[in-house]
Amino acid sequence: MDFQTKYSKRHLNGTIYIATRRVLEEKLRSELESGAGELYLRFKAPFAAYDIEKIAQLAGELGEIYVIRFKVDFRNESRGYAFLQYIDASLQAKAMEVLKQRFRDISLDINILPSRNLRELVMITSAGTCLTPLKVYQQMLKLCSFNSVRVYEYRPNTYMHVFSYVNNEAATLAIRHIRTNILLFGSAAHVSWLRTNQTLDHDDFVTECCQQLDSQMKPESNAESCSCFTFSRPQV
Amino acid sequence: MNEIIQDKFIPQQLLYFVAGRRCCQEFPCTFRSTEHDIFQQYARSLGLLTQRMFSNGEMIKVFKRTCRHYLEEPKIMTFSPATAINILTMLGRTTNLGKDELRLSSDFIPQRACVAEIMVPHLPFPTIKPPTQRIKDDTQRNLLKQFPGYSFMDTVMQMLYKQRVVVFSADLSWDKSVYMPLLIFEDCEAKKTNAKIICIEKENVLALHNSKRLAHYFAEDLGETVGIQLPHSSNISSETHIICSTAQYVLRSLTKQKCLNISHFIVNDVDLHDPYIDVLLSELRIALTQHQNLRVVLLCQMADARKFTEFFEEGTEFIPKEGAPKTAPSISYLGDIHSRISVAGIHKGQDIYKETPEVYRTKTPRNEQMDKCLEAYEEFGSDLSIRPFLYAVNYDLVPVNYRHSTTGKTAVIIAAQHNNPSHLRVLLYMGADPYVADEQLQNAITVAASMEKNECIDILNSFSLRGNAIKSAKPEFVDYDLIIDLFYLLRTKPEYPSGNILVILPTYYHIVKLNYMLLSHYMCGKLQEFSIFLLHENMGVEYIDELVNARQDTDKVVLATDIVESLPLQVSFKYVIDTACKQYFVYNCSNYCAEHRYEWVAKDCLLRRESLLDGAASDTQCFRLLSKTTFNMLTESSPAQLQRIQLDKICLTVKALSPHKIISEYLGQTISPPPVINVHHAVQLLKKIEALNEVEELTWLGCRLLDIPVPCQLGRMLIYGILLQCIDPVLTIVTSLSTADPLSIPFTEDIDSLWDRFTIYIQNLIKNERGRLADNQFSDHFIFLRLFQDWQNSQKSKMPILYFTNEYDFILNGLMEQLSFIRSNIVSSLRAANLIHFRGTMTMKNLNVLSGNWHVVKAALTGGMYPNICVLDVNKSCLKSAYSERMHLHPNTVLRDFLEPFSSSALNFRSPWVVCTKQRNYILYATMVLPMAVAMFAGPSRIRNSQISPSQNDNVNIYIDEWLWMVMPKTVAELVIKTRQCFYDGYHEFLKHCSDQDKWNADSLLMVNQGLINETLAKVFENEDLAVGFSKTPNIHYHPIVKLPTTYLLTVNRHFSWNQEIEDSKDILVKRPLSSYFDVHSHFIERQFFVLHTKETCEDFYKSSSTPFIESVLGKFARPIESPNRHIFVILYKKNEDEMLSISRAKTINGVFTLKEYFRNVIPVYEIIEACRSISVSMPNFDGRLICSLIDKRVGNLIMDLFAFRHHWIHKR
Amino acid sequence: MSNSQFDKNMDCENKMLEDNLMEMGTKLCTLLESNENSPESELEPQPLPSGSTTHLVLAELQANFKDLSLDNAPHFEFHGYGCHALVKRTRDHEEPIPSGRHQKKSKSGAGMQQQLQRQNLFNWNQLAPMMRSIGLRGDCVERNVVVRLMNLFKSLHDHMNQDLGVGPENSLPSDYVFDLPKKITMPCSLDLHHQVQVICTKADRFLAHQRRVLEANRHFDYRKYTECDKLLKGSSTYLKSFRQFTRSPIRHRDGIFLGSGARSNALKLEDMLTNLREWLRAAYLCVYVFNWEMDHEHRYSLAMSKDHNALMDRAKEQATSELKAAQPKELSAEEKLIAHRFKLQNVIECAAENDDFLSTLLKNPDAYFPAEARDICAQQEAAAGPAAEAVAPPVGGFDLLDISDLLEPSSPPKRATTTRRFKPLCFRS
Repeated sequence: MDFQTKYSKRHLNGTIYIATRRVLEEKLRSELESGAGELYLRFKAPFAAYDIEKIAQLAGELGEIYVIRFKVDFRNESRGYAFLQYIDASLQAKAMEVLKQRFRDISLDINILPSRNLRELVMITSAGTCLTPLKVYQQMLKLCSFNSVRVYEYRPNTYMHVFSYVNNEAATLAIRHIRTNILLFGSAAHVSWLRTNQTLDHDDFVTECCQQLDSQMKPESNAESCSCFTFSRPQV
Repeated sequence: MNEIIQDKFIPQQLLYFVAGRRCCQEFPCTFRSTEHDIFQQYARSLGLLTQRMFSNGEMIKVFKRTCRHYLEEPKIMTFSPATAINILTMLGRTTNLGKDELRLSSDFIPQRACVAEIMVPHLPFPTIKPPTQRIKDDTQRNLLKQFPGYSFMDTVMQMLYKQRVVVFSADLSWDKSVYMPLLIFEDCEAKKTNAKIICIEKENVLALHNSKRLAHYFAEDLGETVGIQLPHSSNISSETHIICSTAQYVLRSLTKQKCLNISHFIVNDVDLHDPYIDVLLSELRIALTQHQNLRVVLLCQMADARKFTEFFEEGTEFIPKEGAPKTAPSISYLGDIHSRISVAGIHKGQDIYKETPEVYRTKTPRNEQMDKCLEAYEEFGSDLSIRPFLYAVNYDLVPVNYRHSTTGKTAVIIAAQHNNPSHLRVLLYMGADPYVADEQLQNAITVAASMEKNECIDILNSFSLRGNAIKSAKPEFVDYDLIIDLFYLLRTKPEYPSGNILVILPTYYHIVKLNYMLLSHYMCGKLQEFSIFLLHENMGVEYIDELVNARQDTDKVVLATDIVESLPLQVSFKYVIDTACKQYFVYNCSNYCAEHRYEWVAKDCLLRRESLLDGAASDTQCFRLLSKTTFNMLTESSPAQLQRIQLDKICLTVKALSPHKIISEYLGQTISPPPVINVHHAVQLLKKIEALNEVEELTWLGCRLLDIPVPCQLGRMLIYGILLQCIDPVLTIVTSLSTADPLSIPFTEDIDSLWDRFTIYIQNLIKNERGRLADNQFSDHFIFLRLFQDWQNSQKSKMPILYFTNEYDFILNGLMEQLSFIRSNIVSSLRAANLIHFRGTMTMKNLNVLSGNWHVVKAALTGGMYPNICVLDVNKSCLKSAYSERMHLHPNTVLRDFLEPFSSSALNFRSPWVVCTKQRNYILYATMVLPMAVAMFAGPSRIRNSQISPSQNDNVNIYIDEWLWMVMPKTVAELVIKTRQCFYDGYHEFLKHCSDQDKWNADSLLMVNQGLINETLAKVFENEDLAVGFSKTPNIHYHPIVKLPTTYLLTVNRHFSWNQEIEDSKDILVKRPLSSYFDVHSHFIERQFFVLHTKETCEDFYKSSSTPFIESVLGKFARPIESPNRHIFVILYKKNEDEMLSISRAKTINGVFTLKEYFRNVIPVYEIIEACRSISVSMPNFDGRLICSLIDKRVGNLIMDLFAFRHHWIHKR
Repeated sequence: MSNSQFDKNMDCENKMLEDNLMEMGTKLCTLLESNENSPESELEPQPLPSGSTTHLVLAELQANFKDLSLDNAPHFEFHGYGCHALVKRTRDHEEPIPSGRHQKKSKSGAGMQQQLQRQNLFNWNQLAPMMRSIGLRGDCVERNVVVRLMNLFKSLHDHMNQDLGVGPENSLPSDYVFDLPKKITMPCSLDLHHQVQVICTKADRFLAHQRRVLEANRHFDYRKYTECDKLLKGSSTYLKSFRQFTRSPIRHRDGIFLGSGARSNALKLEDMLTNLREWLRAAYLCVYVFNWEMDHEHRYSLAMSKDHNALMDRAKEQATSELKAAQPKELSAEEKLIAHRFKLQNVIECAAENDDFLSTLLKNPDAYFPAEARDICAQQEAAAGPAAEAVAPPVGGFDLLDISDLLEPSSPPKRATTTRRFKPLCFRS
């Protein structure tokens, strides 16, 4: 592959990235960043036989790759899966057909699926006066940025936080950070992936009950039955 | 001919032997058995002992009487039929021994590994290319200008064009490790030349910190222009031009790829002579001959730079003239410090325990015995009569200043009484203090004077002329009390303006201990406020970040090891307190082991430390805790570590780097060649454990050990742990052996002055605690397991406990923090070396199947500790080992009691075999193991038939190695040998193929076999253990560790730092001008104490008491009187039990009245009343009907002190 | 703290958290469906009347809204206790939690163990059939000819590599750690032909070397010369007959011979190897001792012999003194008295066990303490007194080149040994 001008390769702990060097326009980039058209490549064992650059090369024949992320172990051998995104997100469907065959042609047994793009974490903090949702919110902001959080008080004074991140990668990074610093969230805090089939963003979750707070944190409308509320950055 | 052989040659050979230094000798196998008889006869007439042994046919070995290698008779080994059946069943299921077919290849072809086959655990470095042009912005330009070396930029670059090797020598403030790479990079960018710059640091954490700073310059994240490559974190991309790493890691990757496509090597701190850096320099010298364009930049601090250019035989030095003018700090030595402190008049005021000591005396048998030793000495006064006392001091940790329980006399006083100058001198050498007075208020000096004994008076006179106690002449004695006194001087006296203080201590343990002492003094409100930061080698980078990011207006106290010498910090220090000593890990070739040794550092090191003071500021001060005379005797420069350390890992590294060179030859050509004998010993040890084969080639074991960051023997122990599926406990033991032991029995020196008088009492209690934890298992290693487990259990909540109970708890937490840090590093390395897999049969879970089984763990220890095995000789009542020196049991070990002769300890032994961790000639930690474990796991991995010889009654002798010798029934021998074969087949298979994960998944039979063997061994060892009389093992539950808090000290220091509180009360700060708050020159803080009654336990109280409650009972009283100079403390009192439970500081933070708990403990009120009496304060009365009441300040202070200065072992209930 | 470790290891951690979460989820589920406080809710100190803390959270939010720089604040959503949206959602998709996830594996083989336990009173003899069934005979005799042969080859190599004289290692303490490197010449191969070839060549050279040594001494004593000569000739002849094995079939695979001829040949080879070893031994020893004797009788100068004899006498003396020293020490009368009167038996015994150290400490304390310590109580002029001059006990490292006066005279025909470089150049001519 052309690593001089077209692609860049980077190794960060357990991941090898091969990404385009092209500067994309803001909107496209943010779309891709949040995981548009992401594919999940699952290798069949033995993983050691998979040559990373070769796979990238092959994948690149179909279209320009936005980024391909290989998960590797300490010896930089594949851990059995990778994520692939094309700049043209619509190539996803085509890739699933064509690539699989192409791989098989050179006797690489790789299964290609659309990525689930898991990017939500659940954190449960124990009851206690010291850790209000706001404190958690602020603490979390210090650790690493996230897209949104939904707090459920599932027992009086006990909260479940669902943090959502821009993409799976950010969430992976975040969960590492959180685990190292789990102390900050109290003695009984736990964090884990939210393993659902749909992400919160897309399900039919009802948010009408929530009142939007204005910039002064005052509820905009009068509350009816439910006292839930929400705020987010002012829409620009 | 035969007559001449028998009558002349053999006798003469024996006489040569007698005259020689050897204690035993094996005569060549060329002699025939008739000649062996002659040997035996003649040897007997010379008073020598002989033994016929088998190794390649019959041989004869001759011993002197003093020889400790000699086992007069083989140790018996047998096992019960049940065991035999177990083994037989296992063999029947695992092997195909029925056929004649053998796995011959592994038996006869030496295990040789191919280094090239071992994958280097990281990506090849990115290809080399010129940096892409970028536009520098102003901040970058300014950053560059800030370097002191900015004006020399062109000179440096010119030099680098002319010469391939440049030595840049300047002190730390030049920030060379950031400046040089940037300079070179900028130049390459401008000239469009290839740039790949490798920056080498000494420690991981330094490399991490440096890479962050470099990336900061480019305003990028790590992993773009600047990358990092370390064993457990790598961040690097194809755009990376500057790579930070450590020498050890780079060497590891050089085994595969030589210095191809690298443009510059920048090696930092070459003058510190880190062993790996020294080896790297050799590699670089070789690389320079092959790569014309390679440039090497060596950075050092004020060292003799010519040494390096001479080594490279080319290059130039660059020693810039002083950049900014610097004011020389004032330097004070011990004597000066003492006098300054006494002049200043420091009031620490904690005499609370002045009256208590007598309670603790006389009670124990050890005290009684010591009293009698002194009495006997007093009566006889002879050499023989002082010996018991000297024994106790030397071998039993009794303080040399031990005072007789009733008369109060010390040995020194008695020696003066007897007018025995030689005894007096010996005692003084040993650190006795002649000023200690007895009950009649006489001390050695007055006694000697009154008796008009000239010689003694002379000695004592010259002693008192030299002033200081002998203690402070010893580098291993770190005078905590003096450091605390200095803090009182610096933090309370107005003549010392406040500023950042740096304390340099020898080890992490000292840091933790001092941290507690400082905090407890500070929390009592006796010292002006400050925040504590720690720096040491085994820490996460967050510790450095915490310090670097601390607020500017904080008074920082940094406790650091010598790592601070190579860490450019943007923190200006006003005071440096330098203990001037360092702990070296020195290999001692006379007793074959490495030992920790404290030594004074050399003068160059003191200079480096001095240069850490802020050069721009005036009136900076450096306190060196050594006497001026000692200073004058110091050497100019420190010895190179390579010449002193144990070389096992270095030898392996070297062998991997150049497989075709003899190790000693390679090391002889390094910049600091180690003594040949050290190299030789290391190579022998490696051969012994089969990390190298007979012809000094790496074996697979050697390759794997290369990647485990512990000494080779410990690494091998881990491998046994893996193979025997009990990795977790073995990990704990291995890590404990490489960190400070929280339960080691303290010397007098380790105990600070407050508790000095209770030394014996404390020692006894710790010994008891060790005994309790060992639980009759005759193992010190077991104590590590139990201790770690107990601690782990107490960490149920992941939140670190933020209040203090006592020093021991704090130190324990601190040490355990380091332990779990190192532990998880080892785990990562094992994973990286593919010894633990992520999936398949070798996962963490599978490797812990037998972790709960202590019997198996013991077996793993046996294999791992070999050749450190001792065997009990009952007749001579001594331990024999492969090391000819005498072996003593250290009082630490549970194998013996205090003042117990070995002959009595030996009576309790359940088995003659002891595996041990030794230090000099002491067995520091020992574990008694079964003969069967020794027969299974000691010696070479293959026992050949030639090592077996028949004995009487259907028995056979097995010569496991040169001196281990066992006799067993033939059947037993056969079974043992077959089991060994099975086990070691798996062992070699695993070592060779462990990197091939898929093989282990696919061919699961390998692990099934291993599992079956282990299961059988577990059963067998358990049976046998019980059969020889070990008591039943208490459960060592194994549970996977989720995540232990690794930043306990960071959290605690942050919690109690003033810095934090300011942040909490931001609002108040905004209203109040800063200056009036902090410009309090004389430190005066008034303290007020409230007593709060509660019916609950402490925990419940703090959990349940809500803000409004505290506000209502306390706030209204306390709030009005609270001020920055008046601290309010609240003591929690439980009336129905008559106990004080806790003490907290009350403070209004953000307008809310809150309590911050400082100390929690249980202090009975009678103790308080007693203490009041002893310092004649009027007795308090806590019977008030109010929930909350204000008490007398003096009583309050006293209670505070009781909470803050409390000793775990003394006040244990 | 390394991050990479997290994303890879700690499977168990993930598991545990997941389980925790699962448990929480279940609780959450049941709680919402039954819409009741769980029994654990009494842990809550003051359950608020409404059951929801929404207003508190909101109040806190409002109080702190300045700190939340709203421009880039992430989205925040809060659902108080009993929010119906929550109920709906959880009901919607929550699947039943599979129970019995952690069923313990039944322990296989436990039954057999019990059975074995019952047979605990087995007789050793009864084990025999069991052992035989897996090919063990309980006599510790190696059955495989190839293994036996390989051992023999190794032994032969060892014999020829042996260094008979007393080398410099004699002046060094005899810990195995200090065994000098041994020469290994045996090739790593299981090919018997190859091994035979190597051993033949090597033995040839070995004998030739011995021959040279012998010839150098021929003129000193003809009687002894012929005795050795016979041995050497005998060995050579024997070696010749040995060569046949480089051709005859002795091929094997993994220790199993291919063909019966090979097996019988191998047995013959074994026999001959043993004999060859005896021949070589005898020849080597005799030639060596012959040379040694001639050295002493004819080549030593007078001074050298004198030195040598003195050394031998000293050795004898040393032997007697060592013998004396090795006698077990009795406690002296004084010690017994102290032990008895003060009940200090054990401490006295301890002291006796460390007799050497304590005696030296008392006799010669300066050897044990660093200069700094000694300085402190040294009288200025007395510092150079007799005590300071006393010999320090031999502690610490020794010099590799310190070969004392123990060197054996070396004769020119001596084989080059690994230890050669430590020897002085030559004693004669």
